[in-house]
Amino acid sequence: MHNLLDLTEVNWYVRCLFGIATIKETVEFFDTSLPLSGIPVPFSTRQWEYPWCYSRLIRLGLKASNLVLDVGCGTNPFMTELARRRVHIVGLDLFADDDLRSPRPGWGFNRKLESEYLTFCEANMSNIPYPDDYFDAVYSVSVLEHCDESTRRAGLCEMLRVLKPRGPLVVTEDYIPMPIKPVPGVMKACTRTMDYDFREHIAHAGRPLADPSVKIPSDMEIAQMRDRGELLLNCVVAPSEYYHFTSVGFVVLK
Amino acid sequence: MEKIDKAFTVDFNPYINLSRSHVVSVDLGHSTEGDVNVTVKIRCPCNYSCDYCVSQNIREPLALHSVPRLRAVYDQLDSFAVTFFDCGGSEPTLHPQVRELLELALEFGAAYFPTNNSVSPERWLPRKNLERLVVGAALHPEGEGKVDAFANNLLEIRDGGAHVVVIFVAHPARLSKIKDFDEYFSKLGVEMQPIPFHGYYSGKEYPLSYTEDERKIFEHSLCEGVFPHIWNWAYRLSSDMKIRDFSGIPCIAGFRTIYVDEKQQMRRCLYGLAPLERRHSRSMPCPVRFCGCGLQLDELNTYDDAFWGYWRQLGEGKSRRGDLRLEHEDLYRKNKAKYWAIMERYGKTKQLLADDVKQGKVNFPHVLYEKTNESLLEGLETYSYGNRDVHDILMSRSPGIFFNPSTKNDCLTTPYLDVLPSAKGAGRWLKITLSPAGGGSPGANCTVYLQDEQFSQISRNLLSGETNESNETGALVRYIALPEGLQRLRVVISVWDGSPTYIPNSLKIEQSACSSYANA
Repeated sequence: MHNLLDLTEVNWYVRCLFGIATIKETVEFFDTSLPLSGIPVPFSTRQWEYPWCYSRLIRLGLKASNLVLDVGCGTNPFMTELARRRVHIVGLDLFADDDLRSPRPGWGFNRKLESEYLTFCEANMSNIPYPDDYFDAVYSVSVLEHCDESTRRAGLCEMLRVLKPRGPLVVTEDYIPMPIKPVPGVMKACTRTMDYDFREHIAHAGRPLADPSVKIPSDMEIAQMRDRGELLLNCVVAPSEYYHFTSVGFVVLK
Repeated sequence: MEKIDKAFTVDFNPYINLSRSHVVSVDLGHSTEGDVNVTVKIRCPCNYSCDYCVSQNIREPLALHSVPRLRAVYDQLDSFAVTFFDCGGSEPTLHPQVRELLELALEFGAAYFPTNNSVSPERWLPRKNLERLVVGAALHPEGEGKVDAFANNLLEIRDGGAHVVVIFVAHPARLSKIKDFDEYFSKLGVEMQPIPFHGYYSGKEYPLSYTEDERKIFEHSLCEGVFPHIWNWAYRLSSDMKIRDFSGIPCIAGFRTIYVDEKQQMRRCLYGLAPLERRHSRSMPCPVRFCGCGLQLDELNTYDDAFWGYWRQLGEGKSRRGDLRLEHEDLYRKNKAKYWAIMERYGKTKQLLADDVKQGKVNFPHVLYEKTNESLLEGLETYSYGNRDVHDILMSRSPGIFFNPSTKNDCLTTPYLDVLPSAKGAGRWLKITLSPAGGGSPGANCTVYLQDEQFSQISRNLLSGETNESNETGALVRYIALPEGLQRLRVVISVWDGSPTYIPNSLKIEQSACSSYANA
């Protein structure tokens, strides 16, 4: 809650593309049962990605007893919160976090969290083992940016395959649209950009956006929003540079 | 009522004589699709003390059901229900509510009821809908001396309108009696079904230890009847299921099958302890980390294939007749392959290995060792996925570095090798020549054995115990009796408890077929 109060004080919108997760939504989602302090600092974009994802799922009819797939789940508080709300969650990831083969030990799922409403599956998202039309909803939060392009594309196809007809697919991914100019005393310059275009992922999904009124912004528009302070940036200190990114999200219906 | 001396000419086969006028699901206004199996837990004393009791004669206290609450569960299912009774170590006819429970079950569908048939049916047999009841009357050792009374009760149940079948536990000590009892009951027009004994006897594990001849008892008697063809293949498969963690895999438990405990709580299954608010509307991912069953996984679904399918086919007015004996072996093999494919697809085989690591049995043995004469050490270093334990072991080979006791196990495998075609088949032997060379130090331990594709050890240890110069460099010739159906095998080198550790530097594997150990 501490971080949220800070945000409220400066009266910022926590904004993602194709919709706005407001502070109010954020607070409503992360109620007192889920301290935000549990989210690791490198995951700080999740503080608005999860409420944004949640609000979209709710608007599109998510309810208790639904069956939802979390693709690239790791060990995140979002799925445990959904499970606490009696949504059946299957977390899919490449490794359990205690798996010696994992290239990033500690980043996989934690089997100790399994419950009546939360189970895990060890599989690659480009080959999801579940049958067609199985899940009521599928989401993937900040996963695609960790994959190569062929896996991203295959993963999107698989997510849609296992999704029920008319079910929502909610995806967020990190995005750096354009190099960032330095802001003295605030922000260092960032020359890095992502090596993919999220718009291609939407096109690859080949399904309509859940909200047809949404206009997909250009990189320039995103950069302008960012420069106006409408996007909350996450800052990562890489070995040789600072870079800043925000998350983009989109919702399509199968 | 027919008595036993008048019953010899009765031609009774409930499975082909039923016509659509008997279709209970239609009578009850339900589609034959979407029916549900309900297992009701029932606990009370037992008047027998069988040696082979599956519950080991452990008696749980009498548990009374709230019949209105149980009715509410059935009402909520809103479906044609086939009820089983989970009796544990109880004799359900001694339960004070048995008649009420049975009548309730038959009101909502059909039921299979197990009993030792020692209590007069007058005390428990339901008063209506008996044509929907199948009674499995088990002839236990304590009933053998009163077999005439047993038969009288049997005929009384049958004459009341229920279907009956005699169950006979084929304990190894009872095998010689099967033929006589089979003839006795067949004269009454009642089928007797020997079922496999599960447990240990004379140091052997059953049902795995039944000989080929003994297994024929089941093939001939279990292919028809209450459990058409499932009883055999499913139980064989069940004992093959080395992976019991089905969490995350879609399962019909909670959807097509429901477990109702003594508090009338609806649960997914015996192993899922959390109460269900409502029946699932589809197969849901299993939340149980250890399942004693596994046969309800959606893709295996023995219920639709077998007992439940039997009731469904009644609904369609079809006969179950056919030479199911021919299907049995195919079904077993098909479903066994399906089981392993499911485990592989859902990442469970990896978990099996990871669990082995946790238990200290082995380290991760998926080392991609692809050339038989390549250095195993090199293979370990190159292909072990950064297995820290492996590297610790390798480091321990350096002089002056003591072995770390927390990392004392490791394992390496070759890829799977096709068994020589000429060696396949029952009664065949395989001659394995292992030529480990180099490496190692005296005083360490290394075990080499053969494994099948389900990770079962299929040979005794080919090399075991402390190593010495001769077995590090000389060829080891070993013979193994090939298990039936074995297609592929691999060599596992397991290193354990060594300081410093012996790992052969190279290993050459040759196989040749022979018809016996003696003439190899």
